[in-house]
Amino acid sequence: MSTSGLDVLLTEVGLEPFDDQAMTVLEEMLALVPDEAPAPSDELEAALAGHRPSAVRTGRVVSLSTCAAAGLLSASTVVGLGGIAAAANQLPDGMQRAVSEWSQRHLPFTFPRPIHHAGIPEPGRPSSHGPGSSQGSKSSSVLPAELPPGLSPVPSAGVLRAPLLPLTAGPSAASSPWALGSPGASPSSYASLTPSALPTGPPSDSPSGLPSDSPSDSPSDSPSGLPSDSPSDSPSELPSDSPGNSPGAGPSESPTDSPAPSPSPTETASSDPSPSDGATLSDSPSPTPEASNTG
Amino acid sequence: MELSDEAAAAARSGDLDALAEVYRALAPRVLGYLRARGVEDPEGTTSEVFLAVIPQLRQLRGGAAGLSTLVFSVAHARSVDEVRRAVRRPKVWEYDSAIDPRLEPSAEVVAIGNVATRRTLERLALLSEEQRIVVTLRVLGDLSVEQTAQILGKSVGSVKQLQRRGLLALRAMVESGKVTL
Repeated sequence: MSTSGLDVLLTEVGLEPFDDQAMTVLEEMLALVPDEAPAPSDELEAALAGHRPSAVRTGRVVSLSTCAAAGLLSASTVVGLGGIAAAANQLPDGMQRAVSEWSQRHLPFTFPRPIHHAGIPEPGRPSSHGPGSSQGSKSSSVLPAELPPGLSPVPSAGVLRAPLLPLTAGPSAASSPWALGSPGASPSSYASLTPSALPTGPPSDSPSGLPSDSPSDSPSDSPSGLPSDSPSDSPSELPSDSPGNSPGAGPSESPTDSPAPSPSPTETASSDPSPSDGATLSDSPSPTPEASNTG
Repeated sequence: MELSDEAAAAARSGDLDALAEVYRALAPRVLGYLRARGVEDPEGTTSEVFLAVIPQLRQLRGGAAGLSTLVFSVAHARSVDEVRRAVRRPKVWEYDSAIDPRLEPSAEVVAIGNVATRRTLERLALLSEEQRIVVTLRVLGDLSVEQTAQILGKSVGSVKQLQRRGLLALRAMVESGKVTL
């Protein structure tokens, strides 16, 4: 500020211009202002030379970090909402299946499979697995509502397979409902049956047209525990291990209905060296009547 | 050195020569203001002020007066930040007899004119904070009452009142010999 400027300032505050004491104060104050500009810092010197000052770069870095944080937040939101939807089994089938398979491989927990994919039929949708259907072996799950109390459902990932039945038939097997193949059938023609498709008796006795379980499907006889999945193996029918004790169709009917004891899967399973593997079928000869007498 | 409106407009358009001229015109006053405010490193802070101002030149309005207002607004904000930082984290300095105010100034110090500077700082320290800011902006920054009011966010009348009380207090100090350095 020049001397004339100081006079104006003093006039503004009501002092006499050229007041000696006031002018002394102001002039000493002006001594704080150097005559020359201070040397600029390196960064300011670069900016004065035309380079971009760091303030702009700092602002850009801040904006980038803000964008990164926003992206991370949105990604975590999408993952969280997707996880919630997957846990509630509300994703589309394909996506739910992919998430379930991925979680089985990489996560310590598993998201549920889509409802249709898990094998649970929709209400009112008829089952496509008939007694002679080739897809009978694919049917593996039972509705949880159909499970008897005290029995836990079998994991749906594995296919339950009953002890395979030989399709070869001897003289005694000709009259058996199991006589499905020719005597010269090869072992490769063995059928794999699901518990629901296991024969429970003569076809005429089965209300659903499915063969009922043989007596050997009782829990005590089958080490694989397969009968637990069969609706006919309800706890009320469990004591029917001894033939003739059960009045209904089921394991007790086989010895009485058939003139010759039919080959039962029990015998093949009991003679199976690896009973835990229900999918393996032993190449045992056609069962004899003595062999079917398990009681 | 007076700053012209043409130089301010050229600096706004990115002219490097005009930018250097702006620095030469305003940097001494900014440095004096920062010294009067007691900033620890006034030279470095002056460079920081202009580094912050240069990216904002494209939005500048008002010619040379507007540019001065912008520069001193940034300088004032930096000085306030400096004061607050010093209050939060007071610095501990090792004793240096060369800067001990209880000692008699040496002939060398007197010769380079630091006496007047120290006396001015002592007088300013006796003012209130607002009076000190208004007086330094008006005298050292060579800003008008309106520019000062805009920087401080106060009314023109309030700034006038503050500068009047401040100058009267300084004059009274000289009369009473309160600051005898």
